[in-house]
Amino acid sequence: MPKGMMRRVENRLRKAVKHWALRRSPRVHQLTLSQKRIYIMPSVAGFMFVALLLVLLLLGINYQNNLAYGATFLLSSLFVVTIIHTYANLSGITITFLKGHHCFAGEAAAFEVQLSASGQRQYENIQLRWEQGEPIAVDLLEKHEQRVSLYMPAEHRGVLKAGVLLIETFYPLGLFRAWTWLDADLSTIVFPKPIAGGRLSDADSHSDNGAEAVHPGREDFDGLEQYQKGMSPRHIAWKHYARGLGLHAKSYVDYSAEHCWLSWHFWPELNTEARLSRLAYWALQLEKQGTPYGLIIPGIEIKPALGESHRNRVLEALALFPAANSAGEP
Amino acid sequence: MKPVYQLNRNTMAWLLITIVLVIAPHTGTLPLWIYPIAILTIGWRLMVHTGRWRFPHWSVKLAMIIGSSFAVLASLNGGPTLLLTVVLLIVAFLLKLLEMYQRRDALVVLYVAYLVSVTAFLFNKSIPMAVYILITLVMITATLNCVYQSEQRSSFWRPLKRSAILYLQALPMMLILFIMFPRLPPLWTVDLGSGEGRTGMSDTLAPGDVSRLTRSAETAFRVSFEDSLPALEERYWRGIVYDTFDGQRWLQSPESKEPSNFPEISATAAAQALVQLYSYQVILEPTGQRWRYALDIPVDYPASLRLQPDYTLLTDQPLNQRSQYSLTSAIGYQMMQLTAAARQRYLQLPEGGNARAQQQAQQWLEQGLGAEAYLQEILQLFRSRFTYTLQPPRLSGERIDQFLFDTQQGFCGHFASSTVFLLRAAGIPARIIGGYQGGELNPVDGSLTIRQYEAHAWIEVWLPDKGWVRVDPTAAVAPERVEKPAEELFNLQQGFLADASAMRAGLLRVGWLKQLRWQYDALNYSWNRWVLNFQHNQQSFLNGLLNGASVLKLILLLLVPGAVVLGAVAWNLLIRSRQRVAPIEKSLARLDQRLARLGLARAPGETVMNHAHRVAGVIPDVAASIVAVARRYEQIRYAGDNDPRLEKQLYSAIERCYSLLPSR
Repeated sequence: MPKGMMRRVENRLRKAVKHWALRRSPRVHQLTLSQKRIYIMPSVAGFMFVALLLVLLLLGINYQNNLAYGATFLLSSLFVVTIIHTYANLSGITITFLKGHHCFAGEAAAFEVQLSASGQRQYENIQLRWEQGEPIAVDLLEKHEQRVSLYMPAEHRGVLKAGVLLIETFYPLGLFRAWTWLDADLSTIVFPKPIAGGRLSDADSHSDNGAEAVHPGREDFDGLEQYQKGMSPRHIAWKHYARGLGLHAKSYVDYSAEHCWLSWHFWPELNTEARLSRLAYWALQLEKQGTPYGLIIPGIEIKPALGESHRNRVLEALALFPAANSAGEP
Repeated sequence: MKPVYQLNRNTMAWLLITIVLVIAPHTGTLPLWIYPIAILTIGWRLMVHTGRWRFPHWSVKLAMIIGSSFAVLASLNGGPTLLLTVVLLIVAFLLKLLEMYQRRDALVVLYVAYLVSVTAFLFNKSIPMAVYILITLVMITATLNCVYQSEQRSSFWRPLKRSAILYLQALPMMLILFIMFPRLPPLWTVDLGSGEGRTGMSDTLAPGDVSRLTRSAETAFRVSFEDSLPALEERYWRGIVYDTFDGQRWLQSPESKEPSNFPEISATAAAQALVQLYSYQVILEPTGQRWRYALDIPVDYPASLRLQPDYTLLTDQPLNQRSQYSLTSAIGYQMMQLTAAARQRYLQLPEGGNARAQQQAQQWLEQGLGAEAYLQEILQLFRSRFTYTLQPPRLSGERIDQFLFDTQQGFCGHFASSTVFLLRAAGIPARIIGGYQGGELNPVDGSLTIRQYEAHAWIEVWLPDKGWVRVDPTAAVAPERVEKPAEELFNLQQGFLADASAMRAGLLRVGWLKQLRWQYDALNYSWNRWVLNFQHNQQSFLNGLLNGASVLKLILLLLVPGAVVLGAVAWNLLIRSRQRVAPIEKSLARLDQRLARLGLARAPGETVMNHAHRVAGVIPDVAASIVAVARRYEQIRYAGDNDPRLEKQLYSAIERCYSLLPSR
């Protein structure tokens, strides 16, 4: 059979099995893996191992060598015992889908997943990945609970569903692959990709001679906070990182009293997506400068303010703005 | 995130150890040019591993590949294919060392390592080798496990532990498979090559050649008798019959191998003739020859062997592997039959040559001696003037004459060949038998071990009224050769056991060392019988086990223990480790469940004592009991009080709670 066709048949089969498996498992928030969900098959390496066993058996038969027979049987038994070990390396793990983190389009969205071991059992090298995404390996040895962030490329703004999580393991000998698919009950919002450009007209800047407010900004160093995806890399506390203390970002505050509105109508020459991207850019800029900003887009008005949660509200509004074909060009 | 499929450092360390372990048992047989390659590749990789060197440039790799390809090609001609295959595999995985970056590369190396380490069994099947290979397999599997550890948590020792556990769990099923799996005949004939070095009888016998065999203490074969052992002077193990003399050497004539009609003797016939029958099992070391060793006349022998007209046993293939066979022999049966063709063959002598011996024969004949008296005359001659030595002067040319009239020193080959020469010169049919005489009795298991230095040559002479009679001319000169163990006899002879210094120094012949050697020999014998040659015993063993085998029983015997073992492993892995909660915690949790149904579940973070007081406030009836439960619990858990009475009190307090709690 030609290789391409083999591959196609294989892919088809794989898809069919997956769909069947997913139909059996509803969308979940938390789940303990058991024999109802764990699938196990010899891996490619496992099939090669079987071929090796056949060669060894042939050696035993043709040379009438009982020690070669013995070694063959020992390795065959090992093969069989490994089934149980591979299965045991998944069964009993409880998976909890914790939360998704915001990100900008074009970045990777992080979803937090927690794995916990059952009782005193130990698990090694469990690989987790979204359908599209890099695999990451988790061990549950001395620690019976692990939280991991799984990244998924976020190409478009809007709601990003975590979708199907593949949990697999080849441990201990790579001869078998035990795996399961879980339809994760997790989603996050992907903000529009900020694209620089345009200017803000002064007319939309208002000066209020009110009390001085403290806003996150970049003028005065305020302290350190845990680095999160999307933070400016310029704020990373590299000295801390070099000392092995993890990735932190310096947070700054500004003292100012101006505010400004970001409006849908600023750049009529742009299409919807470009407009959203530019608005996102300016929202971030103003946030950085410490200028309180508000947002006016069709159907939504957000009062000027500053701060992380305000920023997220603005960006979320931009992210969830209906796409061009449904809303129509203004 | 980190890429998942890179090899971690522990894996590299494990791989290097494994490769050395796998190659080590082959060191004796590998061609010399492998060693520089091994040192270069392993060394280079070690330097890369420690961060001192970089991976070799592609030109270096290319040069090594071309170089080793030439070396393999050069050793292609003449070398046995099996050895060549092993060489090829080893070279391939040594070179792969310099090319190994990813998981897949490591897998290739490890799978080849499994194969190479098992091929070691084709060259050496001893117990130490089996133990060594088992260890090697565990190490290879540990390396494989290391490959599949995650990068961030890889450890050096954990894989070894895991691998050992896997093997322990695999062992029972392996035993079942070993016992049950039918042994198939070879699918095609294979060249066994120069697997084991061989010493043993050769198919020619030249008086005057220095005997190689007495230099060696290697085992020729082992025998275990079913009931009684034959007497010491009857332990002549016949192997080959030399019937033709070409002036220099004794050979086997082609005619003697031709199938011809001759009476086989059945066990019943032998029993009727009131001859002693012996049943025994022989485990013969590889000889590279086709004949087998047996006592006197085999009356019952396996179908794979063919009985020759001279009552030796032959197989179709040279013996290249240790082999096991069961025989029944009749000792002392009178073989009267001698066809005219056979008579002629057993009277053959080369034209001319050895004139003085011919003359001597004529001289005795003229005295009018009968065949038996004539034979006695020869033996008398030996007894009077000849000496037995393992280091006789070299003979050349007319060897019989030189030995009989000049040197008069020699060992069994000399005496046997000159006796047969003299007998044939006088028209008495005679032949030389090559084989072994004696054997060391192992008191531990009652088996006989026949060693190479017990190789012997004697004659059989056909006397008109007695038929074929065994005569040992050497015994006339040195009767102790037959009566005493060879090791005692030869001890002072130079050249004896020259190749077995421990034996020669007497190290293995004294006291507790001898006892130890016997133990080890007995162990080896069982090893040969029950492991290496298990196929010969499998049938009877299974029959005994199953009381008459049927396919169904066989399958059940295979499946049931297999399922039990796997079930035990699974239980151990999946269930047991889950239930490590202490029984106290469990019964407390049960009580909590009951309280939860009453709406009084223990809140997260609430201590047992706080909870108890809260419950006591709501249900005053159980106040005393539930506080008692909490107090006992705290005493056990936190005060580290190990008094068993406390536990009992806790349980009874819990019981009291149950009885006092409202049912709903």
